[in-house]
Amino acid sequence: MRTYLLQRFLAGMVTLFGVTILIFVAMRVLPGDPLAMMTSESGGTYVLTEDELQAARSALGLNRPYYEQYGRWMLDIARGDLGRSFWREEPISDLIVRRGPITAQIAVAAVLLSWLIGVPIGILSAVRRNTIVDYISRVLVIFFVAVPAFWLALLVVLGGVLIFNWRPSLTVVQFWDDPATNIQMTLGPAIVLGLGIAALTARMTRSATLEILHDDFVRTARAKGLRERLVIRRHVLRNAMLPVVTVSGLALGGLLGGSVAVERAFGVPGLGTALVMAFGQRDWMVIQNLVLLYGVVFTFVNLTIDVVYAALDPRVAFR
Amino acid sequence: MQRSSPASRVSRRRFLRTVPLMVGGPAVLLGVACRQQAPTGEVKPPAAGAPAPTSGAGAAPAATTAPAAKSPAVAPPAAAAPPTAAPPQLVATTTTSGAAAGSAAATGMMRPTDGTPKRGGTLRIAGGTTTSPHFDLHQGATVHPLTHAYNNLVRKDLTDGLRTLIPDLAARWETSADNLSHTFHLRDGVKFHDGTPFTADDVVASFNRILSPPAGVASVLRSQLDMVERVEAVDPRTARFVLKHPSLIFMEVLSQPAMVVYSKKAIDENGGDLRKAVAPGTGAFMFKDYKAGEKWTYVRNPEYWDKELPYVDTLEMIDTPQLSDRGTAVLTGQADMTWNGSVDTWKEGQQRKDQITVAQIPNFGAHTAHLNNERGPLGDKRVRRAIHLAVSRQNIFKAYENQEPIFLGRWMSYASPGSPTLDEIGKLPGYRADKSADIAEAKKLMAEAGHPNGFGPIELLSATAPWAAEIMAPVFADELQRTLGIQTKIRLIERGLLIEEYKKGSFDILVETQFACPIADYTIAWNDYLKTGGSKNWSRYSSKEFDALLENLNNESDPAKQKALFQQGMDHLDQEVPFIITGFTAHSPMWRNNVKGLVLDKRVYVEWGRAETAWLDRA
Amino acid sequence: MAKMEGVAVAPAEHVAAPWLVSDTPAAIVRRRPGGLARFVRSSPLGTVAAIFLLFVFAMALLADVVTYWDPLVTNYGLTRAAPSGDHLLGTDHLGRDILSRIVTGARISLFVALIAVLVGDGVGLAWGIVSGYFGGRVDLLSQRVLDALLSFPGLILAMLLLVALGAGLSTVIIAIAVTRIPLSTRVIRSVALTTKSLAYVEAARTLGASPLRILVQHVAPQCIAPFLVIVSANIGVAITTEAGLSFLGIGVPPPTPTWGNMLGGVLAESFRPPWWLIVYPGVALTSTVLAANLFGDALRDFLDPRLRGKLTDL
Repeated sequence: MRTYLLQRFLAGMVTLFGVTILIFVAMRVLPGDPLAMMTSESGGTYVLTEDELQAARSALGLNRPYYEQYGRWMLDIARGDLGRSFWREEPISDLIVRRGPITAQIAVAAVLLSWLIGVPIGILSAVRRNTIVDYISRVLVIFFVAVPAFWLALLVVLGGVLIFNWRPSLTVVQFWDDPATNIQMTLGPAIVLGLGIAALTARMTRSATLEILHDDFVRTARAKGLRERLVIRRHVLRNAMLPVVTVSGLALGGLLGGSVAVERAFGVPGLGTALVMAFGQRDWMVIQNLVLLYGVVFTFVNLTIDVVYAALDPRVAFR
Repeated sequence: MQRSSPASRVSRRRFLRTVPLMVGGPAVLLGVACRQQAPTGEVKPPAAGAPAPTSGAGAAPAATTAPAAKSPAVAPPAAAAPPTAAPPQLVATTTTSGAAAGSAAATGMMRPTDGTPKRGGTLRIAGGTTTSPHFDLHQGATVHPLTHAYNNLVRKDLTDGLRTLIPDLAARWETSADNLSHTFHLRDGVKFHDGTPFTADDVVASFNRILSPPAGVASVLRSQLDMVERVEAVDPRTARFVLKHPSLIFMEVLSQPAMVVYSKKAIDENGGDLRKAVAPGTGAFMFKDYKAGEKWTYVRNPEYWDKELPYVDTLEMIDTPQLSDRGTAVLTGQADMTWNGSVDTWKEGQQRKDQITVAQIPNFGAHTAHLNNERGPLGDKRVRRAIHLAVSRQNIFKAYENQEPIFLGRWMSYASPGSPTLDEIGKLPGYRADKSADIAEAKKLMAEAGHPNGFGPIELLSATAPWAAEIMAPVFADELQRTLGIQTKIRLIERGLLIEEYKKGSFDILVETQFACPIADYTIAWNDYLKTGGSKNWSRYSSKEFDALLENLNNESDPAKQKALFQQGMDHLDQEVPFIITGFTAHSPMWRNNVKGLVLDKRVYVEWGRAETAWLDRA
Repeated sequence: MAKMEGVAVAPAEHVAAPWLVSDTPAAIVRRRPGGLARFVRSSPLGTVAAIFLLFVFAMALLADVVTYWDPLVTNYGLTRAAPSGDHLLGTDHLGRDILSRIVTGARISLFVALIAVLVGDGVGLAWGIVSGYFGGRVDLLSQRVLDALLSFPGLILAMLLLVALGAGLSTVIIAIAVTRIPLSTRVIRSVALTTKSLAYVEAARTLGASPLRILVQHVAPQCIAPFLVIVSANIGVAITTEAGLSFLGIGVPPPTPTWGNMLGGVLAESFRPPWWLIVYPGVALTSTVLAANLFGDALRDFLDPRLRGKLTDL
């Protein structure tokens, strides 16, 4: 087991390295000198002279050879220096500390929601196979898999506006500052994203449960006379969890990506909207380090999934 | 076993069956879709009846021009700059005991006239984008979130709608007989937020930094102070500006929101570069917090030299890039006011008179189409004049009306001094609604220039922002094509990258909002955009005649003669047409009825600036 | 294997894929005749979905002919008009007819998705075959690269590539294609691995057949079915990704309509947004993705249910 975990960890590190290389390559090919854009979206034209451009360029280290730039970047990250937003001179770590909790909140809530909704529906659907309950849940599942999350978000906002005359809040409010407003802000996106993942979870749970229901050990339990509910709880559930965990891991990727569009639709001031704004303004440093953050988070989540999976199914480690 | 195995034979067949389908289908789509790339602009039968292109979304342009364009519009009968003997209302008494209520403003103490101000509360402004590249106003930081912490030497009166020039840090001033020397007597007992006392040295340091910045420090305001020869401190309470030539716009330039006074201490301590942090000011509000892309927070300055102001305890500026978000914020009560809301929210606000008040104030920013005077057919001024005559401004306004209010302007805002009235402009060729004679004349000019049937395709460059890409650019292209047969190909690039194109001059036509002026008097803009080699002369227009006119204009000190020169200039420009002005915009502020003291509905021009006279009528 | 014939394959959960289980190629032959009819019988839902997709496809191709209004021409007198006799789905903030924009938008949405998926999965096919069959260091390196690619959420990877490549139709296609590569490579790779160990392939190798010949004659055909399944499964995702990018304003630039940027335009209308601007493009998106998913599921169940679960990618 330990070697397996070590293996996975090392593989994760290598993957992380690959991630940084990928980002580095992508950002250096960036067309349009980021320093050429001296017009901020709100203000007048601020024109830098050639000298100032050169100064900025060397300050950012854009003149150095690639390997040096890469090394410098990695060192900075290791030291916790995530650089500054070019446009706002704001340290990116501040940005992450302020907006990260909002995005994280939404992601965690979405995953929890997906378990709470998806698993029961999946099991129910499998146990009551081919009944009306099954059909309804399968229709719902198919629908929510296909629906784009950001459209659902727009619909929710539309509904809120037209029916309740409610509009999303404009400023960041952390949970510990003002729970009521914070929940208002994060609940919508969490539900919308959660439903999408719940659908996938339900689907996965259903097929996993069906497989297990026909497995030998379940038949044995039934033959022994164990009540159906106990059968499900004791034997089926545990084994159905495995694919659920896998799906959740994969879903997290979709979540991190989809949350960008959903945040934008709701107007939530999270990391996703920061990324989109940075993209629009070609705020190079922000794009680079935020994407890195997403990549790192995702890699670690995958690692965690692997570990959890191994814990749930020891066979994995010995394959 | 292998060659003729039924498996491989059949599967190859299946392969060959599916591949063409998989490739052919998308290929057909490809061919069809590629045709769809450029807007065809063909009008299907029932779609007629509405003038085709041109309406721009207002978010970007309004916000862009706003900070740069805060200047007194002097259309109403305000006095321009002080002549030799300062007119009575501009000279304060020297007593510090405060004058009678009527002349309170004369001492620079602004008092609201819409009721008895109540104290306290938080004023929340849905400001627009509050992101700023940095915090140094003299190096181009976004003005409206920063200006609250500072004072100028002089400013326009907030309580009479920005009509009168009143003292700010300069309690009174005198001008020499030859109009070259302006002496400012500074207020006593003023302190910066960090406790440093305010003296003439601070004025000198601030303005010297603008006039001759140290290395590594940009100075975006320098060109506006071209007329200044030097600044000096006569004594700790007196600063003097010596001009190179008399200037009618000098005092106005000093009054615009970006011309704040920084402390010498802050300048020295930071090597002349105040970008990193909000430097202490003398203003009514003290900077408290800034969350990038979200909110600025200011608190009341209890030591402000005007003991009565400000009335509110806290000032918040919320980042709302979208115009409609700003209006919505006011409508839903998430904000108390906005400098500029979207048309639909503004109209809604108009309906809700019991909660909201709205206004429309002229701005000093224009929508333009820059024509590259150095390239191709556009280099011929007959072609340019033809375009000016043929393009229908009214069509463009109709297209744009859901984005922003937009009006005619003849080489300056309709609210600038020297501008004809909107009615008068609306009678002139090129500007008038009835295009028949103008188009005929335009066609003649095109024929003379050798393009009787138009020419093209030439490239029409525009930002990817929806107002430009979906409205302004297509409408303009359609007008050109329909009236004169000029074919254009629209190319979209990100707004931030457009500046490279300006500088390189690699465009034919560029649709942008590039004709802004920081003050009402458009002399500054004429110098920037129209003088040979001007810093913003993107069209690369060059005329010795016009340059000479500009010289006279810059040195003129008689308002009547200035007006005549403007008239001459406008006539000249209508003939030479360096670029096309589609229209000048107005801003649509909205505020909740309990916000008082700013007199936004009486303002003669837009200023996104200080708000220390605001008070909240709380129950 | 004969007993597998005639049995409805989908939507049963654990019927093994016929041809990969047995050595005898004969099994494959017996399934082929009347493939279409069997498909229809096995999954009526999938067939309906396929017909719907063909319908959307046809609409997209014939958009110029079918639409009454020009999707690009604006009409400032009639902006934000509710659905009516003249404009069945209403008009947008510039007075453009929504129905014709949706029909025309299908063109870009489908076109981008199809090409991106074909390119991406095509690369995946080639890479998977090479990596799976040849193994060794090539395989190991490929695995690491794929891991790195898979460490990005799809939309974020596409955004990163678009930053690098700039906006535009072709770059959007490339960006989405790259996001499709990793999973398809993985699946094809495992198919190639399995094929490599089949008895008759080993025999062919022993007899001296060149790797190229083996690849073309034995490995590639085995990958066709999985490839088709992957492509059909990925179309829905690709459509959604393109829509997401356009929604955020970093996909296909205006004024070309795509379902995504029609929805993105609504963001500027936070006060009382006209519901028809939101509902209809979304319905078009959802129904098309739904149909693509249903068809993909049905195809997969028809061809190889064992691929279920391997293709879950978001």
